[in-house]
Amino acid sequence: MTTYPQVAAEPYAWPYDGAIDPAHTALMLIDWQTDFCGPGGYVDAMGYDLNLTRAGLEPTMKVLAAARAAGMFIVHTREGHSPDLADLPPNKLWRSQQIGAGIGDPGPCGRILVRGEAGWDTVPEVYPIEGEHIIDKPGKGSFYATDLELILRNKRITHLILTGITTDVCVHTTMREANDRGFECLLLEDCTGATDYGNYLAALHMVKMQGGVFGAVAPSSALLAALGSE
Amino acid sequence: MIPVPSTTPYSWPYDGALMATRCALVVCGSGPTWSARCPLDVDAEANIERLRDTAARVGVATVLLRHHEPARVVTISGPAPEPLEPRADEHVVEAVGIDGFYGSGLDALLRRLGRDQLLLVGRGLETTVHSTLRRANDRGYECLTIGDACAAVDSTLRAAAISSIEMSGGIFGAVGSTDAVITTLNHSEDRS
Repeated sequence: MTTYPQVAAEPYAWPYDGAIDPAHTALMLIDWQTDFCGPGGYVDAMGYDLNLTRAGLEPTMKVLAAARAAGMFIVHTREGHSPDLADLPPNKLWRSQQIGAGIGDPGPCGRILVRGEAGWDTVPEVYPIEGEHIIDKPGKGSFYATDLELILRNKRITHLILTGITTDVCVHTTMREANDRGFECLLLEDCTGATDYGNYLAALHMVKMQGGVFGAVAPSSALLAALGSE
Repeated sequence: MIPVPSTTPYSWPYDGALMATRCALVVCGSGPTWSARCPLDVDAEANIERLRDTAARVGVATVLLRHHEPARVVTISGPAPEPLEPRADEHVVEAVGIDGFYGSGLDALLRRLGRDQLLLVGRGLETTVHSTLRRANDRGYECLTIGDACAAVDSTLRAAAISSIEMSGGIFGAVGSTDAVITTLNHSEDRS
């Protein structure tokens, strides 16, 4: 399979070990769900500005198309709980109720953060297609209580390109987990967003400090240039 | 058996009472790796020591986390803190990752000791503390990050690291101060 040149990223050209090999690289689309970026979802119910979490959607569509064309493994994640909420820690339930967006409560898009409901589903712009993998997760990290690591190891994936929401919560938690497990990670800065812009900027900075303590950061244009699909 | 005063964004713990016998003080980044990677924060170091003293007195379990070296090497300019030596009755846990739960016996230790209320402190607010906090929170532990007992790798990131915990009604738990925790633990001891 074709390989592609390194991405102009910070604080180092990504990946550290040379060319991008699509056979060993996965694109992750983290929690692009109505509950986090659509009207009537969980984030909307808490009163946050949806423009901040939706900002990365359009660039992510381009990256998704390029990754599909390059033959990368595609992983979508969805945060949510079973309808009986048996996989929901009591303190997480309590906090959501305190802020007026109780997990499992009825909302405009069905029960908040419950698997199978309209609000929990992936938004149409980046909806998974046949052959792409979907990880359902009960927490913020995509590795905790899921089969993600097993699947990535089976597929011989060693490199991850991350997109999704929100930057400082589910994306950062997943990147930290992946980095600890030895995956070489690139976060696309315009393909992610947070409920607070300052926390978004700080989350990007945290990745890059200490020589890239959690990996590297680049704009999607740099990845698209490397893949030859500008 | 009271909550810790002045915690944000909610009164911690969520179910009403800090109990020494359910509580663990988790000192992240206490080994050589993060001593070398985190600049010295004199106030945070002093607060960690005060919390260890109080924990020992009232029966809060203390865990010192030592993390293996991450992939990329860095050099810190300026003074760095000394690695912490365990005292009698303190637990030392070795972790492979920046997250203290990854490749370690931390979860098994906390479950065995019956500790589900965690006080998170240490070197690396944005690194070891945040990674360990996130994993603890996903596992259902009720976490209080004690901001003034955490040394930041980059002080310009401190405010955002704290704010990220407090978003969405406390998405990673709550944030409190050393004084408030010590006062509460002393109070619980008086009444026991």
